[in-house]
Amino acid sequence: MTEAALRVAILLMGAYALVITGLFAAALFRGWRWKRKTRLTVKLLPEIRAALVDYLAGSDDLTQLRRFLKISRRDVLNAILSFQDSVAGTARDRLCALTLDLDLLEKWRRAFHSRDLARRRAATAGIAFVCAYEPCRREVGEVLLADALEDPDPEVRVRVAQALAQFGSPAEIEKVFRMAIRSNLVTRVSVAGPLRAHALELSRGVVTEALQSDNAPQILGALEMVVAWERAVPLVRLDQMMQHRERAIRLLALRAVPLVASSRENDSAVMQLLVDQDHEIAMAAAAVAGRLHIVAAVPLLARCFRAGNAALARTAAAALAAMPPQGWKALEELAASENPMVRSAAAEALAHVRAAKGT
Amino acid sequence: MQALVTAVLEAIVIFLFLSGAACFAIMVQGTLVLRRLARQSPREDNLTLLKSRLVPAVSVIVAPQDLSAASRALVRLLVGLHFGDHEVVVALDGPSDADLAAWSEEFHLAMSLRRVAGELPMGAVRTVLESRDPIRLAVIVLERSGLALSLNAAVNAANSPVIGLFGPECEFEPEALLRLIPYMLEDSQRVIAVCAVAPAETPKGIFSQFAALDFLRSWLSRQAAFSGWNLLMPTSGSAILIAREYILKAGGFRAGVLEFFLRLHARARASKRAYSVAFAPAAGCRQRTPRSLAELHGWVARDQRGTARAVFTPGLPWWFRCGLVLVRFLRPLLETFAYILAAVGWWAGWVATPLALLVLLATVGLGMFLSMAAVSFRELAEFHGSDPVRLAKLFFAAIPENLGFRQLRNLWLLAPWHKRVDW
Repeated sequence: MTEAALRVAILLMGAYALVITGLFAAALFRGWRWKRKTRLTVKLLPEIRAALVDYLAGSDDLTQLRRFLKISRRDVLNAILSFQDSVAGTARDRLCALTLDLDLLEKWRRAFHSRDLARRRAATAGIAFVCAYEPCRREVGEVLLADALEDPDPEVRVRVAQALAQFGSPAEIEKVFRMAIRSNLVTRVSVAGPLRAHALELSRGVVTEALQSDNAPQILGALEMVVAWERAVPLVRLDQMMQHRERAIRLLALRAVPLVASSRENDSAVMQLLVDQDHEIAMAAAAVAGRLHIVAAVPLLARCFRAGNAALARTAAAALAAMPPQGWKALEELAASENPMVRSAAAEALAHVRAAKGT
Repeated sequence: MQALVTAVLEAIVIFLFLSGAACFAIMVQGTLVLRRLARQSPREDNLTLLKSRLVPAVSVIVAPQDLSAASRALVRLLVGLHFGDHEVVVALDGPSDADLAAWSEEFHLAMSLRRVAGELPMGAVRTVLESRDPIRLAVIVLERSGLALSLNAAVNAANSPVIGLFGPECEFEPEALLRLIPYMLEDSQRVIAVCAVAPAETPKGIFSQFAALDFLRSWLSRQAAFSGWNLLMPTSGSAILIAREYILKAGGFRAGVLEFFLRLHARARASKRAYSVAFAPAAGCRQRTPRSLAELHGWVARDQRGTARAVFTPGLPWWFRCGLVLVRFLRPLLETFAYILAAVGWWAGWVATPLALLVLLATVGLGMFLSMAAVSFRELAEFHGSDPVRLAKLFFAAIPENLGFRQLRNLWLLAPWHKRVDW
């Protein structure tokens, strides 16, 4: 019985050993290939870059580059893409045209529909880069780019969105914005930069439209984009956003207030939020009141000290410190309070003010 | 007597084969998870993340268990992390005047007006210091109060909505925070924490190779595979990001980071809400590899105590806890027992040679194959190859590992079961 079991065990373990050895051999072979490839890249990349620089400087001889393409296609592509942040204007156009001359664009177009994610991503990176050049864009086709905005992979969507935001038509830019506010925060962070240049036009159209909708996630997305742009935008009725039933929207609207033109409605909404039961919202309102120097908020800021929250008291104190002389006077009164928390927060803010003044 | 010994040994062998097969299956699952993660991981866009106002601030908290120069070096590395808006909050638990002087000198600390107040229970704050250098470093000096209360004090003092924790054995790259934060931004409602750890480069030396193999098996199973089941267990080499509000809701730390993390899992499962703890193997955070036998012993013992902590955490699934007991406690116990019984039985003539060989196959043989499989799986999980020489060294280190070290490790695993430690 035991001998039979031993035989079975040996048989199973033998099969298992074969599988493991096969896997190890595959890993070893891949490691060896990888090492060889890395060595080749180290050797080739400076030469490819030099050839690219020659080409960008005006040389029309593509023999070298075609030779490199035969040796290591991946390295040539990487070298071309590595130039994307360092060239502009005609040099960039020339580099994009090179992808047409070397038939790279056509291969990217085919790989764009690949089911292999890595291939699709690589192709997207290339296409997103050459979008800057009109002949390449024509070759790629607008439908392809628009479809890519609906790709299941977020990386592909972001790449294409960034390219369209930089080089697309107003309609495409709006489409990118709509995609961004439907997506997650990482996408918005990535797309906000390229869309910043169009903040004014977008604010007059799609941003206002999104803010006036009943769709809370879209409002949130639109406000996040506005906050990420960090530039003055012509938004109206932001006070309504500050009174929204969703806490997250109220918080973001408060962060957006300093970016829009000052208005009585906004100031009044900020002051209302200073007495909000939610300390985080009251803190954000206090910070905004200080930043916008809303002097009418001084009594309410002083009231924040009585909420019993140390962080809120410190934020209110910092806001008061930013509003001399009324704010400082209020701080001096609060510094004489019997409540140790109030006294300490006020004294801390006053100490900062005095240190800044050098007295 | 012969029949009894044979029956017992046969039962043990069956158990060992079955548990070995389960370990193998879990490692396969871990490999699949790692492959999926490697495929999905987006390109790095660090510059955009660095500049964006939408990226939340992070407070990296640390409560060093010793106040030596090594801890100061760790804090210096944490201060140097690349991130748009991050601060480091250090909680010093009952430092002596000499310790405090060393820290003050190194970081140019001065009295701060900052106050530490919050809802978490914490140790008595002696003073708060901040660096005069252009770095965001706050040092909370506490009366001796223990690890948990020190960590709570640091959370109370933290100003940011996201808390960062780096284990004492974590080797990390300066971009670690930038690589971790996207996981939280992708789905801030669902992802309550992010945990990053990966094997480090293996230093020279046979004990380092043994340690690397041990960690590789644990990484594929307890980190990668368990993350697939949303039961990721951080190691002392992990870096963790967690929303501050979840720490506050969970009532803060009670023993240490591991206990808190396991409790967080239990709470989230009990609440029935959809949640996820993201695993980030490519975030540039690596488990430091022990270099000597003593270091390796300490590491195995700490790891086992962490496992004991998980076993005794109520709220985690029963199958998970039972599995840990079977694999991490019962298996070394039965294996050690089987060695002794087989040796004595063979010498006394109670155990036939084929059965003794079967015992060896179920212990040493299976152990070798599992370690070798772990090395191959790791390679297949990644999309780039490794140095073939290094790979071969690690692969064949599985042979000496199971001829002596494995048996010693079994004894180490049995020793500290009654203790529960944290980092």
